[in-house]
Amino acid sequence: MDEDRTVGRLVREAQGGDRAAIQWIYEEFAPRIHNFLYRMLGSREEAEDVTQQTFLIVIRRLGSLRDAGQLESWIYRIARNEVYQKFRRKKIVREESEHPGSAESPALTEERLHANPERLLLTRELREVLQTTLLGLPLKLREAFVLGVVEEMGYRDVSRITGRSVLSVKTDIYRARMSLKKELRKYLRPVGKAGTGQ
Amino acid sequence: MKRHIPEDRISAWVDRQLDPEAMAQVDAHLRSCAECRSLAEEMSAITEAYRSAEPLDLPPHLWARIASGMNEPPTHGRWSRWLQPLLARPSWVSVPAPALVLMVFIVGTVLFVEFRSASRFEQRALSQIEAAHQAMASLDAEKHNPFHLPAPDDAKVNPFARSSVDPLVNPFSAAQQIRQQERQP
Ligand SMILES: [Zn+2]
Repeated sequence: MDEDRTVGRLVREAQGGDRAAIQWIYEEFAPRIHNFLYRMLGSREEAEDVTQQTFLIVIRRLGSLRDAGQLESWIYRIARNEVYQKFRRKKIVREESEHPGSAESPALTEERLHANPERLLLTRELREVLQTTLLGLPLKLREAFVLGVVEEMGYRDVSRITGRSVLSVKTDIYRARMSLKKELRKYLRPVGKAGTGQ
Repeated sequence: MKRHIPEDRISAWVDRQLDPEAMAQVDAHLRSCAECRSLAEEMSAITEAYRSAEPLDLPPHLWARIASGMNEPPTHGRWSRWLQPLLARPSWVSVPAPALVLMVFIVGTVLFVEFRSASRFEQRALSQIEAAHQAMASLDAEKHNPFHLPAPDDAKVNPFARSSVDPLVNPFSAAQQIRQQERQP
């Protein structure tokens, strides 16, 4: 409650143009937005650019935010919108792709992964494998999974951000999970059986 | 034999997004069913893998870039972006966005009509001036002397036009003629 009041006050101050309050909003939400964007876009440079773009829009449109309690999902919605715009501009939106991920996946060969199966879970390559697999998901499933699972948001919040029903969010996350499970099992299976030298 | 838990329900269970009663039901089933438990463990493992992946650090220079961009007007050419600052309003304005859009539309329409009628009026005025100009140019300027001064045809009544004036009506030349007639025998 007290925290909500503080957020409300800071939002009002930011709406009035207070620099410190605006910076507070940035510092509070930018790390998560930046990670969300990285997971959605798969590139550090793009994540950085879109984070900047997102917060410039946030600052410019702050006056239209009526409920300070909705600040977080409002910022996420703006960030998500920028992601979609970026994909639209690139003309590679594949909501229901026939070959999900085939065009987006960087060259990550099985040979390369199997060369050092034991190291996979221990090195930064893990992040690369996870990220590559994630980028193979259609945008719709990817965003549901990133928001609901990785960012640990409630399905209701994910629904608010994506504009889809809670039921649809639940199904999307399930489908994303099954797809990732299948892909990661193919890559990571040797890790579980490292001793067998598969 | 008990029915298995639907897979999407297990997925929601992993995310703790079921209501407490449903959570307890799945808990109970998983204790007794190895098959569902195995799926739940796999789903949890993937979840954990993604959650434990190190987050990307926020570049420290990013705020400076945003702060410097705050003072610049938006650089996007798209009209929707251009409209955004117009639609964004300070919190004290309680006009809902649709009303604002309607207002902008009405004012725009009025200005448009106004502008069109103004330009039509201007065009009509210009064409009338042009017509008058042409009419005047085509007229014999000599005959249509706007100042109503005697035209050359009336030169005889012009007391100053010496050459063409009938000497009889010229008081000066008349006096001279009379004097000449007196001198002659
Ligand atoms: Zn079962």
